Amino acid sequence: MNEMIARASAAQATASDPAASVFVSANAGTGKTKLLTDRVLRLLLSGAPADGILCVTYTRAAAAEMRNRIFKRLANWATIPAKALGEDLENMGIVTPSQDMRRRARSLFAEILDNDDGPRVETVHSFCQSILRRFPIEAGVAPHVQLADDDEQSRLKAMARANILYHPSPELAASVLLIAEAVSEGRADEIVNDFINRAEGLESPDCLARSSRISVMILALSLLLMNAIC
Amino acid sequence: MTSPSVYSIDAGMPFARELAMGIAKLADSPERLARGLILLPSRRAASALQAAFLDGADGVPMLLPRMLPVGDFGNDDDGRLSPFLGDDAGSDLPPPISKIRRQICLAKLLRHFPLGGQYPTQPQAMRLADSLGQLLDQLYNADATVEQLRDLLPDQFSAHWQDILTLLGILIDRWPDILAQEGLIDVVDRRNRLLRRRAKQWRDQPPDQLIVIAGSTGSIAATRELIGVVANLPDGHIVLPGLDRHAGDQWPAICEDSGHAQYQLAQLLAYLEITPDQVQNWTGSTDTIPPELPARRDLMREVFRPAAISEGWQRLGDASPMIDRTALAGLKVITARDRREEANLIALSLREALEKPNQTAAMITPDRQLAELVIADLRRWDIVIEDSAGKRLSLCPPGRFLSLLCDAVDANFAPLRLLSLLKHPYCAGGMNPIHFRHFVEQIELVALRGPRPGDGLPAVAAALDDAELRHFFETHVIANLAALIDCWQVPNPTLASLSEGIAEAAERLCATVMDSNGVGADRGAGAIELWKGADGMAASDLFRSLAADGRDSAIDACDMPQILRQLLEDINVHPFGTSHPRLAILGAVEARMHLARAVDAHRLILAGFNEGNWPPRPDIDPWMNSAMRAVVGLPPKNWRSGLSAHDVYMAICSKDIIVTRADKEAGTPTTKSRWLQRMEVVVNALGLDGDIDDGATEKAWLAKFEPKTIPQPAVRPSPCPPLASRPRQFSATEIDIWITDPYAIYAKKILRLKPLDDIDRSADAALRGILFHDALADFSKANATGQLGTDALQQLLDFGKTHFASQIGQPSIRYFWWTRFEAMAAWFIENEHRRRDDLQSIHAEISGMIFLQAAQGPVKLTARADRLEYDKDGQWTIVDYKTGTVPSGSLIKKGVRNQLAVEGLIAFDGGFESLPAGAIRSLEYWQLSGKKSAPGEIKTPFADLFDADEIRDRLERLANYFDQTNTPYPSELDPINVPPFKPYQHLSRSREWLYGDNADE
Repeated sequence: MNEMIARASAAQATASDPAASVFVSANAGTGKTKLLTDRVLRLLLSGAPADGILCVTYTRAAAAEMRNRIFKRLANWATIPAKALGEDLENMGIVTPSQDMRRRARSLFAEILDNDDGPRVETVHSFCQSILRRFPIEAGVAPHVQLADDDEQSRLKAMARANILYHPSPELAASVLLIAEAVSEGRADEIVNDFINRAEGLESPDCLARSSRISVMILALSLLLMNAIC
Repeated sequence: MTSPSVYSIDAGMPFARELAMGIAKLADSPERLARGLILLPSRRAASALQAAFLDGADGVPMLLPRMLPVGDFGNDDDGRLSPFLGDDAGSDLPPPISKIRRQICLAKLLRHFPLGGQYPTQPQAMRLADSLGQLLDQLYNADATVEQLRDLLPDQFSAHWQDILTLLGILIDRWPDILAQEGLIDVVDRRNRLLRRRAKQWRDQPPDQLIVIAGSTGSIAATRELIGVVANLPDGHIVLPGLDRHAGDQWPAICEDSGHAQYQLAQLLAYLEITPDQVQNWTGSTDTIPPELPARRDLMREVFRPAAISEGWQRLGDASPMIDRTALAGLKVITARDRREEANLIALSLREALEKPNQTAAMITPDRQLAELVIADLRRWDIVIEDSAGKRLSLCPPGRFLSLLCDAVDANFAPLRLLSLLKHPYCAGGMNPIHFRHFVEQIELVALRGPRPGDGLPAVAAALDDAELRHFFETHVIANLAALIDCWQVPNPTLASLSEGIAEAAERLCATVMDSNGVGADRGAGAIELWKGADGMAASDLFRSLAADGRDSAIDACDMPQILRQLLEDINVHPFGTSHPRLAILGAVEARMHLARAVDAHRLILAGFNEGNWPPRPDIDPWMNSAMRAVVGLPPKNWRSGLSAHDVYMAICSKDIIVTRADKEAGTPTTKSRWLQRMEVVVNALGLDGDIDDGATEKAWLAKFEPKTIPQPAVRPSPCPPLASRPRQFSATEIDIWITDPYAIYAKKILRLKPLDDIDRSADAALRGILFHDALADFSKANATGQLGTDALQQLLDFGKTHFASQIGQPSIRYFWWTRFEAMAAWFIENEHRRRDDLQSIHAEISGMIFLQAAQGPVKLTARADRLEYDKDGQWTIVDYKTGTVPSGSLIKKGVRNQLAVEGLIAFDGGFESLPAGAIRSLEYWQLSGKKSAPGEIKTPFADLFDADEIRDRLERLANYFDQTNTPYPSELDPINVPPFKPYQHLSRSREWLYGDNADE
């Protein structure tokens, strides 16, 4: 039993070593968050700049949990006696911590607290939004762009759909009629929604032909739709 | 040369009071005092000092010194200073440019600069202009020279910064010229120049009067210069707020830490070339200082210890003198479950402060929603208080009203927008507002619920049959909006023209009296209503600026709603005066500018103590990155954290301070403020973590307010009305509801509740069904007997066109429904040709009835058959057209879809008007979807022969059952088989009890 635990701990220590890129798969409750926390701390201890560390999670709760854990450990290190500090560092896989490293461990707490830029622990959404806000021009959006919430998105999509399906130019009119004959109104809305969501994949009619069985007229319509909507 | 005369009032001391008493002491004679000049950060600070002087005078009359604001962080800064600071009629400085005008000018420029390959739209340009304006102000305040921007090597920064650099360079070049052309100058620039002039004047000719600059941290370069001059005057004195004079060996590290509470003051001291020990303690009152104040300062000094020397925390245990429990006296740190609970606790603490006579209390928070919750909670005790931090104009009634009006005209008064506008409390249209609302509600019911009557106001008027309603609408709505509609359609509109149109229409709509010439409402009367109050005035200023400055700003009318909304959101409306004599709700910036209101209060509450509030989240600067800011001379990105830290320092050092935070916000865990985390570490290292008061008392109070009973979900309603009220007439479709969901019958026929249509109901399946039915009915009536002619299909299509005519305008109907109708019509005609050989006559849309015998009397069953066919054998075929789904055989077998059965029974008995009785040959559903694969289908779910007796018997048993006194009308008795349209689910609250324990969302 002790051997199993020892092996597990050793495996975790290897996984938390920032020198290696690692893929970890584990069941719930086995200590994944601790592993990640250890890894971040070891990165910081090894001198990596805090604003060069990014942790991406799926939920805001997970991000908050992880952030709080990191700070809790660092707060602990700031004031615990030297012996306890040494033990904690050893458990993380740093066998004989130098004086420099100990000093670094102590001062990390205040440094990281005051550092607005890092380490960053946030959700995928949050990270992507921050990129868009920092580089609006490169992303091709207006600065101060705001994320439309779900209601707003539905409203704008409905407007775009209505504009295309219901006020088409003469060339589009024939295509819309074809669609109307083939599918119901609800289904037509779904198809247009689908196209809007997969805008990047629609470079040419061929790729669409290969991926689904839709008539050529509808392919042509899709291109016109995309041009008109975007 | 004597050293500069610099003092500091320690954090924790009541600022205004100390300042007043100290100045009175300093000015050794009344004349000296009267000739004195006190410079303060804001007008409110000046009033507070005045009040403090009068308080301290104890009824003895005194001539007060002149007290003037120098606008340290002024947001309501208008660039003008008092004549006593040099801004008099003789000043040669041009007048300041208004905020709106600057935004419009910059926006005009920005429209011509492509960013990332695209030219900004007008709303985008306005947004960018606002942000660019803020950058300009920051540059002025920091004394940063923008020429250095030109020197920034483009290859140092990545491609997207180069676009911006080019843009900034050109703008900075052109902006001074544009200003010169207008004969105006930037507000902030003007103020700074005045201050510099005054500084120079005093340097060259030092006045000997008493001059005091108090409460400033010198964050603006021009103010700093003035401070430097005054500090060296013969009778000049600087009084700093909350300098930590005993920072000692921490000071060098503090000077490098831009996020530190003392950083700003450190910068100032460095500029003045003095060290903290050269700053004297300002002694105002002679009261003994309670020991917890210096102890708390010692504690906070450790809490703010710069990161670079944070290893000092390890020595806390054996420092001497030790920081002990005294430092925590009067400090509470309360963690609430969520924002709601936090607001409750804060309100309780504020209320408690009022128990002691003459006690004052203030809450400081950047979280305006939290402030709103506290304000609402205080109403529990009839305490009415306003948020001093103000409210966005877009959330105030006049702002909302103007925004609604703009949205409405933009949508050509579509029903929902029109109603939102007309139902706003301000809307009166030139008559009594109550009567106005009454008419509007009637119009809603008649014309705006259900499908749209058409586009625009005339269509709504046309849909009003009642002459009185129509007259009302034309006189009190259309007449007042006519000018605005015209204004919207004029080609080449400008910001000025559109906003003038909106303002005029808004004034008319707000009036309660008509114009003297009787056309439209009285603008003047309406204007008084619309522009009243602090919020109305702010809106009025905005529209006046737009009218004056937006003449040459061409925009698209469709951009106006968004632009207006942004402009309204950016304006913060402060309430007039102080709303409550003893309590205050403040924002962080406000508290800083008006220290006396905050730190002079007997009790302070620092609320929302999480990251994002304390400190605020750093703005992402779209114009410059950190390196560029450093080159140009702007303060680092986190300079606001330092200001916030000082606010926290000043607040927590007070005698009676409560710090509150919420653990969760909208379900997500929050992050504690960094300074709270630091405090926890320090308190822990000192061994004092058990000694912080965590608000157990307050939470105990709150528990007493908790409701005693936990709300239970509703149970299935099952009313049992008296026999006399029970309905005795049902339609064929109502039978199904009677069987599966009696409560719905109760609601419909006994309570007589009819669900309202949606406003502007979009074309839906029910409408499609009606159009198809009507066309077919017309056709059948026109061709009741005999064979069809060759033009039958055309005839049917013509009937269809007639019925579709009113709806054909809606393109979805034109494309999707009409094609279906055509396909269905073709099938129908072909089917007709085949069937007619065996038929004598066809009857469409015939009403009929029979009576069932029940215990309390007869029950009438009615039906309206879509189609009845009388064949040559004298037998009836009954057809029901369905454009949607057809009931399945199993449902019919279960006896929960009885429409055809009832119609059959009526036909069997001869109950259809003027039609003979007869045997039933067949009961059919015709599914008329019009889809390509099967435009029409005949379905006969009645596999067995029609048995009239069985049906009659079943229905009479049902009627008899409900004719008993004890039979209830339960809701959704048979939930699986209830017909799909369930309008009474809200009333029955079925979601609470129908799905058992699945109420967990």
